[in-house]
Amino acid sequence: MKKILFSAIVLISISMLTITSCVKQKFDAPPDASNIDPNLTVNSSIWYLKNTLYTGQPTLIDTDLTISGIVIADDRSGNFYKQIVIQDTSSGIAVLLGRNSLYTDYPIGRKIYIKCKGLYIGEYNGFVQLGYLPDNSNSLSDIPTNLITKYVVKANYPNVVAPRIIPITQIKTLNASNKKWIGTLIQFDSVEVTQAQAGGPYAQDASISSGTDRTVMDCAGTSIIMRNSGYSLFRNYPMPTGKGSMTSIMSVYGSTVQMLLRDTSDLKMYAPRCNGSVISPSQDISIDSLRKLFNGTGIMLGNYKIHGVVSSSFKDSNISKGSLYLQDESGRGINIYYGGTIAYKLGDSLSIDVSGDSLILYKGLLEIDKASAKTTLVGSNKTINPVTVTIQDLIQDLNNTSVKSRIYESRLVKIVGCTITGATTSYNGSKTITDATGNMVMYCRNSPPYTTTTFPTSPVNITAIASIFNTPQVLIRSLTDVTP
Amino acid sequence: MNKILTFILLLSSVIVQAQSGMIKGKIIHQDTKLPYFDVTVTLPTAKVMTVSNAEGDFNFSNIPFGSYEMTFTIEGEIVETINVSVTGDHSDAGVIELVTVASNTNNYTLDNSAASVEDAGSLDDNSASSGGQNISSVLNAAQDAYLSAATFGWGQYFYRMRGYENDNNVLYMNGVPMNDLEEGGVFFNSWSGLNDVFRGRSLNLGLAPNETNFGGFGLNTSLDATASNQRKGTRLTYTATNRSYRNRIMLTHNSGLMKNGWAYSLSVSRRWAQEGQIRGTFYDAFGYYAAVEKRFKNHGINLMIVGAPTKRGKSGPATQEMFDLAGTNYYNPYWGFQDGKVRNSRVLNSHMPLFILSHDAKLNSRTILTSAVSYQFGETSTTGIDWFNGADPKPDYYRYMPSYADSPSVAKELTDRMKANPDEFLQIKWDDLYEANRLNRLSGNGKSTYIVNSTVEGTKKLNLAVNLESAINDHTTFYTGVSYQNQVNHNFLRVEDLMGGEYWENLNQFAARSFNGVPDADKINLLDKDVKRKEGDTYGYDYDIHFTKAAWFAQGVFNFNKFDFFLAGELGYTNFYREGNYKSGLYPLTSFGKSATNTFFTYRGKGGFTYKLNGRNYLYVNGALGTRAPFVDNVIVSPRTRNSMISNPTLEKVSTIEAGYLLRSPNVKGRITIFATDVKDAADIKRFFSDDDLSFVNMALQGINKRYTGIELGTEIKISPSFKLNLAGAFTQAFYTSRPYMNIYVDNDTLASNNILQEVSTGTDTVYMKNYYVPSGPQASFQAQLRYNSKKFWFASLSFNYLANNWMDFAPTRRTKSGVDLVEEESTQWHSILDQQKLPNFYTVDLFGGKSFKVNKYIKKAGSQTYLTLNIGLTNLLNNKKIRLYGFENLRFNNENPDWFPPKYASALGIQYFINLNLRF
Repeated sequence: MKKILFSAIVLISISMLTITSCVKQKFDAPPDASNIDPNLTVNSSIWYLKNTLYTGQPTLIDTDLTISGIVIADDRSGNFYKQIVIQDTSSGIAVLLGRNSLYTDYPIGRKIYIKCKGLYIGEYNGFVQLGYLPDNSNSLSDIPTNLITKYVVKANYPNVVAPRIIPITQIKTLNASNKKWIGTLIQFDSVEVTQAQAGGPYAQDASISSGTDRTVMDCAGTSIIMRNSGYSLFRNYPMPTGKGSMTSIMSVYGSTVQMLLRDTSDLKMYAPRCNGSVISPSQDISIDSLRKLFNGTGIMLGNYKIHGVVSSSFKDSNISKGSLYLQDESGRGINIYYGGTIAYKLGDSLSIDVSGDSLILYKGLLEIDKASAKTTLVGSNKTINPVTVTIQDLIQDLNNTSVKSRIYESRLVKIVGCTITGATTSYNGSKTITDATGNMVMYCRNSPPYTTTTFPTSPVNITAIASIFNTPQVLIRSLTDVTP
Repeated sequence: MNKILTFILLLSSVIVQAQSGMIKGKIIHQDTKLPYFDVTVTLPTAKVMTVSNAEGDFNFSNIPFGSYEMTFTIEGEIVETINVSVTGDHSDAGVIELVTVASNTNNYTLDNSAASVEDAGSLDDNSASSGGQNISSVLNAAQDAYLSAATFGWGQYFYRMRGYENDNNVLYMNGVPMNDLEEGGVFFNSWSGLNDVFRGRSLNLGLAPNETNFGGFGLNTSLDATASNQRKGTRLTYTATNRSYRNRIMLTHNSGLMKNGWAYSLSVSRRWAQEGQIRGTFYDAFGYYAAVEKRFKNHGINLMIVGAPTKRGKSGPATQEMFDLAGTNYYNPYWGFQDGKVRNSRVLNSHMPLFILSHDAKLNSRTILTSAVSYQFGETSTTGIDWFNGADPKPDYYRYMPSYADSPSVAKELTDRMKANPDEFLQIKWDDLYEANRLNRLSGNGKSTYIVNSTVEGTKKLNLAVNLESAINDHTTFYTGVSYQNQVNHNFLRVEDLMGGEYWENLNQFAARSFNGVPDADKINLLDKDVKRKEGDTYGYDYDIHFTKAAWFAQGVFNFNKFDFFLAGELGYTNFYREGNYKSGLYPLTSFGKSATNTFFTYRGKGGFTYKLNGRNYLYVNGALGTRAPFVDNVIVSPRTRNSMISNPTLEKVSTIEAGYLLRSPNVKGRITIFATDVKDAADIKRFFSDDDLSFVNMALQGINKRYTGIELGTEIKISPSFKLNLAGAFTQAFYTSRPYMNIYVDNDTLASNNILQEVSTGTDTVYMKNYYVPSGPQASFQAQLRYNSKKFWFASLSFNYLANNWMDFAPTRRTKSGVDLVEEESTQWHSILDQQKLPNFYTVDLFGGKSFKVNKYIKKAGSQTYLTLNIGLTNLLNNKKIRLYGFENLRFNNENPDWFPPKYASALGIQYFINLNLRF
């Protein structure tokens, strides 16, 4: 009996443990919906919305109008943000959708239907848009994420929209016939980015400007604006240097026509330029490598770029208007002379194309004498940690006759436990700082606001740029660089 | 304190020798004559206690010669008292027959009182309290109404004894320390579901001496899961319930100690639910256990293996706005429909087999040496959705909420639409995520925008412990032991499901944005030959943390007629370091290879004194102080990216004292304790996305001081032979007593930490959090329980629980100068930024009952030892669905729009039942 009971229970248990594996968790991929067109009845065209319905003021669409179109621009590269552009046979229009990464649902080539009742037509300086409730300044708002599917119906993918291939001259100035093409895909052949901009970045960083105008020309010299967003993922990429085709969305800002790229692949400029020349791209090197290019006499730099963080600049430091100090992850620094007045500030992260610039010694300090203007702001508010040195080591290094072997020059250093002395009691001018190992000059220009401040006489720690003006000197950036 | 210690030392040196002996006995069931397991045997005047083993045997050693009253307690009920006398080396109390008490051998609670809580919330698995099993042993804990209420009544509502974090609660299994070296808590999941074999436990709350270790300052649990300690026989249990799982079966067979000196024990279990009570959750767990033991004359050796492969779908906390939209407090943001079927995005997978080899030897009549070694390995992971250059797939992302809309009319429209289509707008849209990947592929790009990943922690732990216990003389027992723990945790992300895509790219999308154009900045691993990842591949981060901990403890326990006292000390050594397996583009110099090793030396000491007015009234006072090493997570700034540490990591300093009165009269038993604990110099790093820095940041708080103080009370009143009333309550205040300083270390900021190993913060700030409450569950609690025990093998109990003062976790960033910058003091907005929220107070009513049947009364053929037991339980009988388990403020804080990131809450389940059917033979 007991044995029977026991084996019965064991059997029941084993079967319950295994056979009733009722918890199922493997999932199939859902079926493909990308080849389904719901075939909604379309009773209006984009051109009808833009030309007939739109009053010049935000206009509520209060009738059951359905349009359809193919997406010709999405936000994948970040050049468009919270909007897509669709095109039908009549025209094209921007649609404002309040979400990022719209391309995952509405990629270029997807057909969509829009049930317009309840939406508004408005414009952004002439560029007509479909969106939601206008604000006080008559700008349309985006259709909120969770309302999108109420108005926008997805259809099949992919579809190809052939761009209209025309010369720049046909749309350079707005007229009755090309107005319809706003919001549609346009292709120019045999055009190039201007000589001054070719190879430079597509756009400046958004912290400088939300968008940057670049100029594209055909070989006859007719030019048109290419407007690139400071938020686009390709903003720091170099623009092509050759000649070829450009596919983009026609847009306007006031009465100026400007072209909007979807991505860098819209520029297929591989052929030699109109004048037959070829510009080769520059190579990104560290400041350490750059310094090592110097062989005792000034040289003209080849195709190079450097990058780094501003350790001192006119904006908030103690140096002349036209120059800045840059330091990178190689731990080396360099002085760059631009001339004029520099806008970059402490902590800005820069990428600088130095091709064709000079690398020279100026009053004993290695500097880049900058003629070109291909500087890109990559980021800001970066911090640099100073390296701690003794005055003896610092002077020895800065006096090294092999300039490329200097490791502290133009770099942020920290001198611990030194005393400041001088003829006057304020920071202004040359002061002597002394630590246990030696003494050297700390120089303060007469322009910074703290220049009249009295310096402390007790031992301090000094964070400063190691520099040379005929002889070694250090340059503090602000009073916070001097700490007890 | 020092004076007391000196006094105790002086006393201990003048101890006189007296004669003493051993006394043993055997307990059997009156009706069946079978051994009676788990009966508490006490000699109240000698203040010693033990529990009968699976063979019904018990023994005491070192009992001074004399006559004693010996009491036998089952389920907190004194069922028999006899007189014994100790006159020689060995005395025998003989065979004692006791009436079978119905509930004695049945665990009438489920093992998941904690698991269901954890499911209702999203707290880590270590949050499980020691809920759910019968409490026995240790004078202080057995029959303690407070411990019983805290475990069974309040544990499921995140009640924490004395307000302590879990790392103050220490657990030993077969003599080996089980607390994790990374987070300090105990990972109960690795042996859950095997209640049958983990019943032998002793509990000890507070500072009283432990037998094998110094102990924590909170609850000390010691599990005995050796084979010979399991009750002989076979038992089969089925449970139906509506908690995180719906079905459980357990099968256990124990040989008991056989004549040849061998014993073995086997147990398997399964718990499952296609869907738990919260939508989208499921449960699929196994448990296995095997132990074999060989007893020799004076020693024994035991080998045990246990594991619990567990897979379950989680639920998560949400904002009030989501509860309102969903129309339920049990809204779960983690699931969504995929092709019409419910799929959970957060699936916990865990399997960590544990092996323990233990040995005990009786070196002589007064000395026992125990040693044990354990090895545990395995993996715990939780899945989630990861995305690259895609929209946030979380349905409760703040930008999708009506509260994010500028215009009230749009907010209303959104609210209406979301309420009308909850499955579409309040849950994950798996189909859309698959479509995004498919469209990507169709456009010639096989990269998945969305994937399911796993956050994996692989663990290898080696623990060793050796303990010596020696009764030096009749009054003095000396304990000493060493322990050594070595642990390596391997942390990484793993691609689980490419969701229709061909690969995933191991790149840092945040760096790609903020270091646009900088070569290699977006490389997560510069050593990658290929950034493409397939299913099963590692990505994102990959590092090991190595830990070592060693400790030596010594303890003297001194027992005299009128008073007892003890003294214990511990010296500890802890070290840890990080080893990065990825060389990151942002931190090429600090991400790869070994970090510096952090080494800490710690000490702890404690002592206590008990004054015995008589055998029924005891007064006691215990105190302790010491230091503790910080946890690795609070030292390494950002373990996922780099090796750098916070500046100046410090030891935590703890001092604590408790005093109480214990009453053990035949009809009233009770304990009242007051306690006060100070913790100083603690550190805490919180990690979140900061709107100020537009990056993930590591917010390190240092110089945190805390105080835990309160009073706890438990009494058991015997109203009649059948009726018993338990009253228990606690009032605790756990609060901060300092203004910590805060440093924020920004991720995705290269130059800040590249050149040196010490991090540079964006500036030091003061957090004004003095006198805020420590978020540690309800700090006031009360239980009244009426219990009826029938002579006819059934029982019923009704309890009322009241829980209050549950303070919400708060965001330090709000309590800084900049948090209230330009906000008028004492204004409504000022208060709404600063005031700490209290969760609503609540009460519950629970009902339990059980009956035991002797099967051969109904089926003649069944064996005489075949019993069938039925237990039922109904908790939260009034079906209160508004109980908030916990809440926390969002660490992300936007000064201009403080409402964008509201707090999140989790709610306790309404009425729950279990029906437990148990057959044993």
